[in-house]
Amino acid sequence: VIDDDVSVQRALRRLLQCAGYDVLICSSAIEFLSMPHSPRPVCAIVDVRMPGMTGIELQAALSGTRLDLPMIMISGHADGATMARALSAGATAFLSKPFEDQALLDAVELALQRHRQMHTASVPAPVAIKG
Amino acid sequence: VQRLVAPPATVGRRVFTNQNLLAVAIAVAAAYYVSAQVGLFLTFPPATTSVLWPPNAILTSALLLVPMRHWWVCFAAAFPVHVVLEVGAGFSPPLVALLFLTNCSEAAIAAGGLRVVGRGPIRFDSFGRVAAFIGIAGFVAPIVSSFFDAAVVSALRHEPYWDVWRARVFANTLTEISVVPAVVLGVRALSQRSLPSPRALLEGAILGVAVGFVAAGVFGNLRFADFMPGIPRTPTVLLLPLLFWGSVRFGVGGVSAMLLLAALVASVSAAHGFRPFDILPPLESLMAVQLYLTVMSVPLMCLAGLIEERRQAAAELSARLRFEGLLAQISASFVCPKRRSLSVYDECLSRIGQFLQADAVCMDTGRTQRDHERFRQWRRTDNGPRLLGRGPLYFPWIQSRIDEGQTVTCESRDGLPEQANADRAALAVLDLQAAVVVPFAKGGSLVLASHAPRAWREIEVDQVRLLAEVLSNAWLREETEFELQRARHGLAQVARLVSMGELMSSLAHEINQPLTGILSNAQAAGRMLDGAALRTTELRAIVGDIIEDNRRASDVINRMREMTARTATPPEMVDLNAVVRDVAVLVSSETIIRNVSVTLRLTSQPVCVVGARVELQQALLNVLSNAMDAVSDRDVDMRLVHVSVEADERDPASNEDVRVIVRDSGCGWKPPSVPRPFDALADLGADDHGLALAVARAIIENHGGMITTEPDATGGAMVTISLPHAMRSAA
Repeated sequence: VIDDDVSVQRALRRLLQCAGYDVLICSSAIEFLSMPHSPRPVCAIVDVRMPGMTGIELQAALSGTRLDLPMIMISGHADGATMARALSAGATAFLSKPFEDQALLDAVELALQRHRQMHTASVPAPVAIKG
Repeated sequence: VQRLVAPPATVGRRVFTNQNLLAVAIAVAAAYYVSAQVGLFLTFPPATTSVLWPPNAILTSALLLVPMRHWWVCFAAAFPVHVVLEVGAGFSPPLVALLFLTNCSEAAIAAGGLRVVGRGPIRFDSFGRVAAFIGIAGFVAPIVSSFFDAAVVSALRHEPYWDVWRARVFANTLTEISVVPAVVLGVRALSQRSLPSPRALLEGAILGVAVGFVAAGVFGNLRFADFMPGIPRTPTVLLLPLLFWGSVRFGVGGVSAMLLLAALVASVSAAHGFRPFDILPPLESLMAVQLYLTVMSVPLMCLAGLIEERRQAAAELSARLRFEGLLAQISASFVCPKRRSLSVYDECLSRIGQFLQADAVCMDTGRTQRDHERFRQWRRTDNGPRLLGRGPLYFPWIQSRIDEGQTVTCESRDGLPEQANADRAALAVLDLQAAVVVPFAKGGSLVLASHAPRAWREIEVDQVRLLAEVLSNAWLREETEFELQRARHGLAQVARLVSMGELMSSLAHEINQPLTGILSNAQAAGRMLDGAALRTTELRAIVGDIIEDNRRASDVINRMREMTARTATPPEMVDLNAVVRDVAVLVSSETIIRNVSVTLRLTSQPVCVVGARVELQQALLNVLSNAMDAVSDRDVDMRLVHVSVEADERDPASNEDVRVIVRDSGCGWKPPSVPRPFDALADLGADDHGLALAVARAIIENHGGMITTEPDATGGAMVTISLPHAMRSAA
């Protein structure tokens, strides 16, 4: 979970842990890029708007690198243009804050599927999930 | 100016009713009787003509005091007295009747001529007027009327025509000059209750005794030469200093009265066989005395007129200076905006009322935004006339004139025309007689009123108009400022809403963050409760986070509410550091979205100004938003905005303004915008923030401060908001 808001970080960590996932928390994209990726994350839930590097910039930066992984974009200000930009850049899902827990978990599940399939030939189309 | 003169039978401030006319008739008859007795006493048979005949001068005085349309009352009152006395003196009825006609002709020529020349009531307050009086009443009237009189006497009594003419001219010239001013001025002083002070009365009595004594020595049997060797046998020159005294100290009336006294003493002395000029026959001697007194009186009366003219000029100058002082005081009352309140108007009305000696002054400001403040008034006494609460409809006729822009001057309510019955009744209810009403702006008026009838002088009306203009201008300026302030308020409100619209995306972000925390935490808690293991500690932490997020969301909403509130907040002590901090919090999300780095440099001590906190926040927000816009096109690491608060911390009471400086790393003001970056009209088309900056300037100027802009050393722009320190504002 990459979000500059501490409260959101904690809430998402609790939610995902309840669903049985292991969760790593980062306060910014820079922090995520500089942390040792072991074990390697299989899905990133990224806030679009953050100080320094935005979520979309992070996605673009990781695209095609060895750290490339399925990303779920979340945003407190989800305008159509941002959503389209994120999805076209390869985001697995786009969630508008606040969102339902099931929507997030579905998106995570979708991202995991995508991660699994990234190592096979077919890649499922990205979806926008309204929270 | 619509001048409502008092009813037809009015003179000066007095209203002539039938009772007044009866009193006039009785007074004329009595005075005519007494003066005729004196004249008959000083008639030396076989001559028909008296050596001193005051009744004609009495009649002249009455005609000068009464309007022309009531002259007949004076003639009718004098006629029976004249007939009774002269028939009793042995004159034939035709002679009596014809002599009355010649007497009346003298009085009519004198009074009519003076009215025509003087264009109004007779006055003796200038050299010109006194000269006109001497010429018309003293010479023309007696000379002309004596032609008829001498013809009558010569025809019916067979006396030498020119002897009669000469005796009558000499006698009547002296009496006209010596009686008329004394009677007219005396009656006027009594009617106006402007009696001389006891000290002046004593001085007058001493002067009278001195004149009587010296006149007895000069003309009578008290021969100074008998006990004062060296004194001439007829020391007429001794009268000169006394008459001069009367001229200087008591004016034309004083000379006139002293002259009459001297003439009476001379005439009575002559009646008793004393004559000052031994070489002349008795009658010739008496005429020589009359000629002497007449010739001497002319320069002395002219001198008195001249002195009175100078005195009046000095008094007018003094009054003008006092009026200028009043104007200056009233104008000064409206200079300092902070002092302006309704009590200032009340104070002005009080000053005006006291200066112009009115009993009540009322200001109707006309159609106004502040209707409850429309009427202000001052009354000389607490139980004086109440003008308030009635409104203009109470005086419909006067108000209709005011609406046409006319000034209405009413000397007496009885002088109002038939159509103004309602106004007359209203004045009667208010116990008011006279009023001057000057139009104000927007259908309002300034009213000066008095209980007693009053003839408003031209200069007083002009003064009231000038004062009304000053008050009207002050009121209009306040109205304009009031409107302007409302417009500013509206503009600020619009600008706030515009700003809020622009900030809405970041505010949505700010609210959605805690909402996400709340929802996700609650859902996590729900999942935990559904799970097998109940982790109380974690649940407590979740609840704590939910509460904290709730507060965050609430804070955001409160800030929005404050910014969009319509109500004006009263001035308070505001710390500029707090203003900067609040605005920084407000734009924090925006800075994240735009990747702008906003740094603050605040002071260690509070820097306070007096003002409306929300408005100051608004002004700074507008400037800060503009700075963030300015840097938005730069590279991310160049998007810098620096806000600092500056004040003389060593001396908080320093006269220096306190400043909030906003520097940005943008490309600076574009050249065409430099002179007027805060002009809404200039910038609105080219820049969305034109309106916001104009609002910022209006807010800061409304707080007594100013906004300046200049290029920053880094190439960006530096906007300085200067505000008066709270200590200075309080002072």
